[in-house]
Amino acid sequence: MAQHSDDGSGRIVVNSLTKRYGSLTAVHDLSFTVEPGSITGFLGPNGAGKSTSLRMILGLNEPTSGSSTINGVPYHQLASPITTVGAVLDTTFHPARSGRNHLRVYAAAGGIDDNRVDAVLEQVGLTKAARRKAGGYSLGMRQRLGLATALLGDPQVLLLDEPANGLDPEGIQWLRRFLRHLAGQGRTILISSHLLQEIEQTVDSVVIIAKGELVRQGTLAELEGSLEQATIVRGPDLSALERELQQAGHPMSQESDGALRILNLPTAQIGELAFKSHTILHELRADKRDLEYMYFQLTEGKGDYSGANETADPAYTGGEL
Amino acid sequence: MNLIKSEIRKFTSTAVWLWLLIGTVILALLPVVLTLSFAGQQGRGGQPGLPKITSPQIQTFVLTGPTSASIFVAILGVIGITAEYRHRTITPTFLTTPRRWKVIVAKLITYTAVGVLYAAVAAIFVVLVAMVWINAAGGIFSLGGDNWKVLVGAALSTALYGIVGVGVGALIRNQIAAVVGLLAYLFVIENILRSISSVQGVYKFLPGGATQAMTTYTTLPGTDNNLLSPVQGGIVLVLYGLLFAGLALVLSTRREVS
Repeated sequence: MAQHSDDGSGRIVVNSLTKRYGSLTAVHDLSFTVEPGSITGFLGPNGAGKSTSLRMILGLNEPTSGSSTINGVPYHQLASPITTVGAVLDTTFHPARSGRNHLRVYAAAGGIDDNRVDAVLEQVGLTKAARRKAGGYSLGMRQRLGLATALLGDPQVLLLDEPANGLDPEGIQWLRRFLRHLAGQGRTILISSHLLQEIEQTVDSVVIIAKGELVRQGTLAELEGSLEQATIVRGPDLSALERELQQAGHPMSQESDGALRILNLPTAQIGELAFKSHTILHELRADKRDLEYMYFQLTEGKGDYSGANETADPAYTGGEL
Repeated sequence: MNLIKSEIRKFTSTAVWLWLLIGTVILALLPVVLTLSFAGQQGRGGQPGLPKITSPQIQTFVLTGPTSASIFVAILGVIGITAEYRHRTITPTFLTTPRRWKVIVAKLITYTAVGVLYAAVAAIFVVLVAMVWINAAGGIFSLGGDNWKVLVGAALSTALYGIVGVGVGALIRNQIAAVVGLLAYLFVIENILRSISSVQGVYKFLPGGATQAMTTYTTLPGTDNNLLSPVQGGIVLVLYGLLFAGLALVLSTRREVS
């Protein structure tokens, strides 16, 4: 095993990771790669296996099969884990220990200069609360302390598990700016979330999982490109327009309420065709399906709380932001 | 050694160390005060009582004081590891040091050293109180003869409980269960085993019996001395320490962190 050594690339490779707890399969045959210097969103509904996957990558949980590497080696073989990878999992600290002492504990263990402790406290805006017991911190301050811990070793790779959980809108704004700043320094960042909106503005690409399996991976641009473009048309008599469209070979479908749904044709062009075929239109609109809709479609009914035959609300627009 | 420095920071950054040190000193002094208060009195029903305060014999009893504090040193070790599971700081600890055995070894070394330190503080208090009290009563307190061996034996056996504590903590990761289990064992189970004559042969090989052996050079007339020699007792206790250290290593490195 010793022939592999830390290649310093900042690349995360997940290879057929599987984790079973008894008869329950938490993660099944999951493979993806996070390229150096990119910010990747790790998306999935609650219970999709995101945290389990991250914990396996970090060597905290043992995979049933499969493997993962950071910089070409399994986490536990990294020459200097704390200066290579920073992780924010659930915020964990001793409530009676001050934030500053919490960081000093890990600075000592990682052989990091104590000056760095005050530097990261400053970076996440916790300088004032540094000497208070962490048990008295607000949720937002706890998340910041978690981030400070991850940043202690000035790592090249960051793994963040739901870092926006429990943050207020201002905190989320701050986190976005902060992550963009960190990404601007060329770090590889993998950030998990159950809300696409939460990370849409921050990430370059996404890995979407549901029920422990990969459902989609790609850059945001690729995903947007694969969204179908559709237009809804309504009117008293659409037969003329329909013929016109058929001749041009455009795929379309009849909606249940008699409306026509036309694919892959700009809305303006459909308006022109309607004018040409003397069709009276009562409605002409782009049927906008965004990334959120796609994310919902991909993971529909695969969350923790969905019933077996529950019908999804097509008007679902995602999170509460 | 970075990890030991980290463990010391963990240990000193909460108030636990101070309360346990105070508890250690109080527990160590308790038998000293009781023994000296009742020195020279006859036991009930013709049972042998305690020797006179001026007798040299009583000093060997008094100097075993630190062993009664071993429970606190053991609890110290238990908390040293279970606090990490309780507050889930074990996650950042193992993230920083994924080679987990190093963390456990650092804890074992740290808590052995802390055990020595606590036992030394307890011993100093025991010696001071005994010296002042005995000399005031007209006796001559001395650490000569076997007395220094008793004191060193008491302090060493107490220190070894730090390792036992870390091992118990690794075995029973629930802090309350581990502390309660330890208390129940030391105060109830061992005493029961000691009082049942048919298993008395076992007691001397138990941690409590071994601890007692390390501090027993003279016995009260009329009591059984079914113990190992002091050096054998020390060896048995060291073996227990190694056993628990091994347990701690195996369990902590194999188990998943949730």
